[in-house]
Amino acid sequence: MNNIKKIALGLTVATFALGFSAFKTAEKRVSATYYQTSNNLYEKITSASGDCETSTPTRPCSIFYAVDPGVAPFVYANRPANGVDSEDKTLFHLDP
Amino acid sequence: MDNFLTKYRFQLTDKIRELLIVGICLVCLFLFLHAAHGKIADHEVFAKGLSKVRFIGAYAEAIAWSVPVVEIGTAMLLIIPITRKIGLYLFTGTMGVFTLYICSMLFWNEKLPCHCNLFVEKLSWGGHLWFNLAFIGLSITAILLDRSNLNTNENEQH
Repeated sequence: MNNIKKIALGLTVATFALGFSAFKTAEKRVSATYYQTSNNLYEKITSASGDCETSTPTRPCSIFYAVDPGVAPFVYANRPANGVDSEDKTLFHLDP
Repeated sequence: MDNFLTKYRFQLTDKIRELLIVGICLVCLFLFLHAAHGKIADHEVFAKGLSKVRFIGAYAEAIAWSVPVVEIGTAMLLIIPITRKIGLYLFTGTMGVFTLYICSMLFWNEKLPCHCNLFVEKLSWGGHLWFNLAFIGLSITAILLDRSNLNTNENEQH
């Protein structure tokens, strides 16, 4: 395999990697935000839900957890999304 | 043992060896470019996640930009055949740093964000550690194959 072929192959894989990542990122943008209102209670902000609920059966849905400053600790096990698998399991916003 | 190694070495022709190195480089290239794009596209989330990490939180913004830049740079070095070897060394080093980061997560037992891509985001920190070690193993294999390729060529010239 000559060098030109190797570079061409590399560029093809690079394009594929970027395209695939762009596709996955676009999918991830579908999101819903929950705010923590007490130690183990979270409320969904309806205005921030987007089309998360309607798209859940067919597309992955990212769920963000917003923790109000002063309410601590963040109880990871008590997430409200029972039965829903979050894309960003450890991600939560500090600023509501 | 020596006989086995010699025999094994002879089984890998130059063409197969070269194809293996190119294949490993392409896999590493895919991994880094995919990861870099994700980190740039979701820069705010990535930087916020890093800001929560002990010790490096203060430098979150700088790290959030430098990591994808290093990944893209490494990927470019892996594409060009002349710089492939440097790319492989850089890939191994970068993955080593990421692995140290994961080890620190395991050591501190913290539930911190991992801005990972592909199926890695579904892995535990332990699984992630093995994933990284596998890639380090792959890149070291490519470096060794490249070195033995060079030795073979030198022997042929003599």
